[in-house]
Formats: sequence, structure tokens, C-alpha cells
Amino acid sequence: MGSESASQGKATGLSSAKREDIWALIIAGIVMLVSIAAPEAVYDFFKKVIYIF
Amino acid sequence: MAGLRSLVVPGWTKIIPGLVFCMVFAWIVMNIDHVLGKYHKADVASAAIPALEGMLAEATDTGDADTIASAESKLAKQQKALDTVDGTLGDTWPVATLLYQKFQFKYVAMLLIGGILIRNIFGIPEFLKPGVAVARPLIKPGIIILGVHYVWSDVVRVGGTGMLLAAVFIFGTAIVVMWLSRKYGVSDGLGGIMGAGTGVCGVSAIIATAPVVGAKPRDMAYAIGTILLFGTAMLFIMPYLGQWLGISEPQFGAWSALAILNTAQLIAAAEWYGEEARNTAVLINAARIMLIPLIVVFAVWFYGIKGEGKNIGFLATMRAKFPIFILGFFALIILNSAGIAFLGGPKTAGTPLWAMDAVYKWFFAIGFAGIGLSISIEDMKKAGGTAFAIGSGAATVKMILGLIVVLLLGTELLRVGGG
Repeated sequence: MGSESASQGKATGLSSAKREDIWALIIAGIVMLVSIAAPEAVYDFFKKVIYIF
Repeated sequence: MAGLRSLVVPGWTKIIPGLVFCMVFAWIVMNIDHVLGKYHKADVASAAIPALEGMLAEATDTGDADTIASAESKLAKQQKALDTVDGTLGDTWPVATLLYQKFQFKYVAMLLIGGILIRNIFGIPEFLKPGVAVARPLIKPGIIILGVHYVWSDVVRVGGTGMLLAAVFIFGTAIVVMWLSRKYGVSDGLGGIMGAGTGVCGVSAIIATAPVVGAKPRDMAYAIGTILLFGTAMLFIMPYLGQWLGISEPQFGAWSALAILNTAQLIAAAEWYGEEARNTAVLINAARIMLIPLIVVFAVWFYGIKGEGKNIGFLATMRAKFPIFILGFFALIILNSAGIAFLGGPKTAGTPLWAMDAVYKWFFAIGFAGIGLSISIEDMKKAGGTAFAIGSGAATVKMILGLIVVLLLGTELLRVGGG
């Protein structure tokens, strides 16, 4: 993980690994908020709706 | 505002097609896995139901209440598995069992093997490559969410053991590789990143150490090629080797976390072996990757690197190289351990943590799609020479020693109880 262009973050102040880490925290935070708001809907979607067969 | 801007990947629109491609690939494979799993369970149920009915009849005759309750519960579960595929008693689905159980042909294997075949037979068009590269780190949110599976007692017992093992193995391997590299005339740059890469966490450790030891781009290509070649080989060999050796899932999880060098690859191997293996592997890996900054500090000391304009002090290195996403993983463990009523738990239906537990596998699937589609035979050919021999030799020794240690430790110390 984190192999893509280690240097690309230099221009923006964050290394690509740090940017990945922060995005991972943001995404997990969003999943948590949605799970708090509608746990049944999240569960049904990822365990049932998404499987079409 | 500048902080927010720096979170945006430069040229982010270019990642969309490749990311969507990985998501569709993961979705198709997850559906195939779901169907195979369903028919495998029905096949097992079809064979198990007559035996359970016999057990129930016998227990009813003797009036053994505990056995009756247990048999009824198991019977209901098996009947449900059969009903899911509209099967009747006596129906069999041997192909599903052969693929799913004997060959372990689960979503991890399908994504990795399928991805490698697509990449190396048909090729990945240029416009998809940026998105494919971004799919791989999506394993990180999956790891964070997986925190709902653990409680603090797991972290203290399994994580503590893992931290100790990881520290011994990491520094042992790094010292041996760096020393041998110096002895056989490999440059400090290549020897340094190869030591860090084979010791800790593969590609991440190589990237973290490269600027400190002054590794050239060619050195990085060699080291990454070696790590990927070894990791890919182990990813496919270890689950079958583990099965052949008959080691338990927690033992396999610990073994893969010690032996496979890349986070994504070790989680793929452990997930392939089973859920318990994955739970142990993720926890030990969390302990392991926290040691990445220390290996950079060690490389600085080993090669006697002076500042020369680089900020390589202990605290600066720790701050720059610490994998902060792992804090989210531990935050979820704290929330799960705290027993907060409205958050519930992964096994308490209708609660937020239960809902989150349904999500993590999808992040893993997209990440595994990214790994499979990124494995290029051409890149692996870049591995070679003395550094490759030293790096892969040390990694092989580490794998064998890791196996001996987990066999000596046994299963219980490495089992994640969860909560």
C-alpha cells in the first residue's frame, strides 16, 4: 500500500501514504455515521441487496 | 483550506474509471463467491440433516434436553441453508464444495488470480491505471472498520504477543539483511530499503526509508520487485501450505502477519484461510506497522546518516512515518469494548456496529481487485541480483522461523475472542 508516487504529495504538503491514511479515516467515519443513522438499511444493502443472485 | 486542498489527489478525475472498474470487478466476484458459498452450505446441509435427525430422535428417546435443544438448533440452521437454494433432502452440489472448500476458491482467490490474468493477458488500458492504483489502499478503511471485531482483552493478549514477535522478527531480519548487504557490497541505499522492506511492511517501509538512506529509483524498483515477488508467491503458497500442515486459523493469521511483507497481501492470505485467521492477522499487523517509524530510525543509526538538510530526528521521523489510519482501528476497538448501549456490537442485530460489520468485506474486495490488477510479471522481473538473493533468503528464513514460533505458541494465545 502506498506505492504510488511517493513524491506526488510534496507539492501539496502531504505524502501519498498520509493522504491515504486520512482518506481511510474519513471513509470509515462516514460509514460509521451512516450506520448510526440507519443500521438496518446499511446491513440490508451490504448483506442482501448488493447480491443479485 | 490548504489542509483540505492537500487531501485532494492531484488529477483526481483520472482515478474514477479505474476505481469503477475495480468496484464492478469486485462486485461480480463477490456475487460468484456468494452463489458458490450458498450451494456449498446447501451441499453440506443435505448430508448433515439425516445425521442430525437421527441424533434428535435418539435424544428424544432418552429425554436428553440439552442434546434435543442443540440438535434442533443445528437442524433449523441446516434446513435454512437448504431452503436458500430451494433444495430438497438428497440433492447434492459436489462441484460447489470442491471449489469452495477443497480448492478454497473464494472471493480473495478469484480477485487475485482473475486480476493477475486480466493484467498480464489482456493488459490494463492507460486510462484505468490511476484508479486501479487507488483501489489497493481501500483496504485501509476496511481494516479500520474491522476494529468492531475486537475488544481490549484481544489487543492486550494477541496484540501484545504480536508486538513482541513483530519487534523480534522485524529488527532481526532488518539487521541481518542490512549487515549481509554491506558485507556483499550492495549499496547502502538498496541494502537499507531491502532491510526495511523485508523486515517490516514491504512497499510502505521501502517508501518510508528510501529518502532517508538515499535510495535511487532503480534501487526502489529492485526492492519493490523483490517484495512483490516474494509476497505474491507466499500469498498463493501459504494458505495451501497451512492447510497441508493442519495449522489452526489463529496460528495461520499470526504466521502470515510475520511472514508476508505487504499489508494487503497478508490480509488477503489470511482472509483466504478463514475469518479467525484474518482477525488475528489484522491485529498483529496493526502492531507491526506501528513499528515502521522505528525501522526508519534504525536505518538512520545503522548507516550513520547525518542530517544534511533532511529532518531525520527521532520525533520528526515518528511523526512523519506513523501510519495514522491505525488510530481509527484502535478507536473502534475502544468503542466496541466500552459497551456503549446505542452502538451495540457486531453480533447485536439492528445496532450501528452490527451494520458496520457488514461493510468491511467490500472494501477488502475492492482492495484485492486492485492488488490482482496491479501484479505485473514485467515489474517482478525487475527483482534480481545479490540484493534479491539476500532479501528473499532472509524473508524465507523469517517465514520458517515464524511458523516454528506460532506452532510453539499454540492456538489459544493467538485467538481473537471479539465481542
